[in-house]
Amino acid sequence: MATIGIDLGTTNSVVASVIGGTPVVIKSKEGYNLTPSVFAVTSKGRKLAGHLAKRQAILNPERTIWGIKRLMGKRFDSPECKLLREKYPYKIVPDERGFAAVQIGDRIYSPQEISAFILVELKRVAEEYFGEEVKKAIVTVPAHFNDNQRQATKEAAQLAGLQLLKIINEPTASALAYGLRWAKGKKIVAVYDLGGGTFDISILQIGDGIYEVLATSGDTFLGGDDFDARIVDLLAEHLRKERGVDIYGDPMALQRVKDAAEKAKIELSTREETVVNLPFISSLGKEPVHLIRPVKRAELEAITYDLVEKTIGICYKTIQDAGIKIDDISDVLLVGGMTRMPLVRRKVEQFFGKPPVRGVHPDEAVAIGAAIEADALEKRSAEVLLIDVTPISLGIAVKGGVFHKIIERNTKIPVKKVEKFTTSKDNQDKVIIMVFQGESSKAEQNELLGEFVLSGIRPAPAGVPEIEVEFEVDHNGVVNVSARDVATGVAQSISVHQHVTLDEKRRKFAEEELKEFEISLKERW
Amino acid sequence: MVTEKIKSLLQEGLDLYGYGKIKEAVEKWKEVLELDPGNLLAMDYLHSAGVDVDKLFEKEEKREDVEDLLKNGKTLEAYERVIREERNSLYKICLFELVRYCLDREFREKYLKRKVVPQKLVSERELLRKTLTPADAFIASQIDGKLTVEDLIDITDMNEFELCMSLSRLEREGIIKV
Repeated sequence: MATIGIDLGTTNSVVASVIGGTPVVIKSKEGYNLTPSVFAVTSKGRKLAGHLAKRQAILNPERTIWGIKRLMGKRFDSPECKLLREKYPYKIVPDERGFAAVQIGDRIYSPQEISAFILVELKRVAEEYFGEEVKKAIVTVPAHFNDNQRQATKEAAQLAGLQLLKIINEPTASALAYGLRWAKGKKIVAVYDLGGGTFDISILQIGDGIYEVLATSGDTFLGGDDFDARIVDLLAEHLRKERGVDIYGDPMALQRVKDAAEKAKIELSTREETVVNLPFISSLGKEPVHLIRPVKRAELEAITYDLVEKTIGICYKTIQDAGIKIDDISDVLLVGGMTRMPLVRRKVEQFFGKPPVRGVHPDEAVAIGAAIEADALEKRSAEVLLIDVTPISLGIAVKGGVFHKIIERNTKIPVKKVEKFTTSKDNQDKVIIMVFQGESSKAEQNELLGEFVLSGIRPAPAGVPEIEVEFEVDHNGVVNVSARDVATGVAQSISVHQHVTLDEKRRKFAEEELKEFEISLKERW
Repeated sequence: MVTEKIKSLLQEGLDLYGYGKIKEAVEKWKEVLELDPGNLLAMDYLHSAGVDVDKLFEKEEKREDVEDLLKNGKTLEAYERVIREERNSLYKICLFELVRYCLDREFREKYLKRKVVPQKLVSERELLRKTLTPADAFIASQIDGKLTVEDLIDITDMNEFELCMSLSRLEREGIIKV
């Protein structure tokens, strides 16, 4: 049975596999390399994922879910979620545990369920290609994803009927795709990833199979869609000025202009000029209105220059965070479709002082890397196996809301660490253990993964009882935390992933719905 | 408003009929038929009052042009003729329903029975020489040689009949083939 690597992106997703020793992206039967990460329920109740869902997005905005990755494992009251509620046309609601979910009609979907629909569509693409069932997969996540976000991704894969071999970091997958696993000694690599909806820059240190993330940063609202929007603005303004027609109030016209803007952007990566040609875009009385507008590469660069500049500013800061100099970077890798744009390549080369490494399609790199790792795991070839590390530090909140790290980021897993704590008040009979993940010294600025109470502590003056807190991260990255009163032996523990995942009843329901969806896809194609 | 009026006319007719004022009652019910040519109650009452209801519609001029188009298989043209007209008589309503039924059956046979993938025959530039509505131009822009008619219904959020109408107009203009 084939194994696959999946790049589950914010805007687009890709599936790849190693076939006859060569990693390749699997094209859908319809000829697409990418599958839009979009899910929709039509007004007639039909579920759509991928291209069909994207193509009806403007006409059906409240029932079309895009960019769900930004909501994965996020709490409803988090600042990111607040921002998304303003930006997204669909309804974001809290689920019963306070995590963000989306509502279509009267049905509430968790982000992992929506992602599962997209994964089912990708699974279909792979199964049609191989002519057999495909189950084993690696799914990638951004390097900055915390445990809640990773657990949600893991659950999405399980709901989609995939057997998840592993979750790996996107920049790590890219480095694998670019063949950097062959590197001798240690080297520092910059992965510049400008995708459809998000920008990520990661500084990796690679050596002996370990891919350490020295620093990672980005902008979750900066990507190809913003470039398209600038072209749409340009074309809309042209129509408004020339003919007095407003396309923003006309969904059919807007859909055509958006499609044309994306096409023009892609063409301008290889040509100096293109013409947007949309006849009968609207009408004034009985007279038809056509949109015909040449666009030059230089013009596109002028209206999107600030977007590219913004990414460079983030790169500069990230290099500082990593504690390195630009010259320490030996390779610059370009990832994401937007890096095909000549302006992006030029600016990146100028900033890093060296040309980016060539040889891999930037929009396919992540999936290719995931496929390579999946294949290696399946064949148990020691040569390319990644050594997993904890991506973000883990610890607990102590007196004064201070975050006390117990497992530092980039620690190899599996790992187990024990530390001793004590009480802060006389005769304190219980302590609340709050498990956080993050790098900030203030606990509240980090992600709360879970909490539990250790009670029955023997009465004693403050500072006397000894409480042992044990953190364990298994080879799947699952975090287990336990606390024990040394004097009494009383202990409590939690597996923090149970926090974000769906309960039994909701999972069963989702699984059935996804099964039905999978069958409907097979009937359709 | 109209329903209220019809209700009251029907009742007034019944009252008059009850007092033996048959002629006046018949006038009231005829008025109903003018407002709502297919009203079954009015026809039923008229029939009971001894009026030959069929004769009431005989004055209607026959639309031989439309009937000919139907006979010659030019259902779309027949439809385009009847849709523009006011349907203010039973005959016109029946004719419209008949044409629509024939067209719907034709659409189902042609576009929806199997997986049909429409193909575009002209470029966007060539489209300029045609005459299209923005809605038809939108449908044309979505046709990429991959999507089936069923897919088009899903992504455009149109009902089957509307979309098939659009497709058949595009086909007649030589913009797509099915």
